[in-house]
Amino acid sequence: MSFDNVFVATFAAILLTLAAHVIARILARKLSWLPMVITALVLVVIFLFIFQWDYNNYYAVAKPVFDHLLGYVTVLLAIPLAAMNFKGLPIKKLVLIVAMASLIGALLPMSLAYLFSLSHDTILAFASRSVTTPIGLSIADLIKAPLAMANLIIIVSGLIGGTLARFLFIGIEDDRAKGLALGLVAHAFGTVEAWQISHTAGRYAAFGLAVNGLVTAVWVPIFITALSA
Amino acid sequence: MKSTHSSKMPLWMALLLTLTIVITVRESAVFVCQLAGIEKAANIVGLLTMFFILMIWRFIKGIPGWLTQASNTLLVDSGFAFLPVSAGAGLLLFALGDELWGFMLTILISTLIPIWGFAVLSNRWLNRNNDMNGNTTINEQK
Repeated sequence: MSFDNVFVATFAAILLTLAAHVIARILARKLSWLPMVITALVLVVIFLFIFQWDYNNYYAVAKPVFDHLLGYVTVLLAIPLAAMNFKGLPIKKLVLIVAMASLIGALLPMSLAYLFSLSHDTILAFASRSVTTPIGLSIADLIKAPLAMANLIIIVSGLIGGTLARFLFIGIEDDRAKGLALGLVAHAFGTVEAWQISHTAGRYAAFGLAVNGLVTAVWVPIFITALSA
Repeated sequence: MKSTHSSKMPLWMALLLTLTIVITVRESAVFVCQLAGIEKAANIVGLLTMFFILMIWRFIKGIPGWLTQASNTLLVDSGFAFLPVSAGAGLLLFALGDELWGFMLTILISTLIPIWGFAVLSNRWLNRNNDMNGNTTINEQK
């Protein structure tokens, strides 16, 4: 598929993406076991295949609009974090856990990627492994890591973490601990899984996701830039 | 410090106001970052600016209920914003070639071990805090 007019192409890209998102949302409502993000992603790929539209051409016209949307979602994440009720929380211990999660979340996958002799771009992209997609993509953009690779890492790790976490929680009774671990490590997918455990787990997961994203977004770009200088 | 206070506002108006605030903060961050020559940091600068504005708002008056309600509604559909990039990620998985095994091992180890570790650590630390304060139990939290 090819378009002569950029405006028409952009409109078609938005329409195709919107159709995939809406269908995935309807399907996820009817089939609760279906992960919405993955369904929407597969639908976009299927639509591109049906319309014989090359992904690179589609992405080139969609990028200007979706870059703005991505920015708005990143800024929007500040609201649940600022509205978090800290009453009764062991703040010092939480700060320590978040700091460790942020450090380990970036340094462990980068070290492992280096150990497994992955390419320089892939190692950089692993810096955003433990943060939610909008923040992760902003970090990847800042440290000049490939955006699609960073997004792939975030999606796959979130899916693995969210799916397998319940097998790792044997012997752990506190839902706050389960939720916090899921939000800190498996970001959005983990938070969705935490809401299935209980509301307490969900709230702690949302806190972990937002605060880890915020902390990592500050230190990782500075650290990587200093390292490359 | 108040976390939120309730307010009666129709959802459409809450959404419109929230979007206006978010777009203003983000576009202002883009403008300032362009002037400072750090354009790529605009989203993160916007996030931090929004967080500090809200924290000041929270200290002075408390964050209004309509703002959190609207943000919850918008965040449910936030996946739409990163769908084009996600589609590229899906295609990339099939093109990893020799890197696939190293890539998958890195993700598995760096995801599962920290989840387990932080769950064990949080379980100990949060419960020890409760034991010392003697105010909450696990069952009460559920």
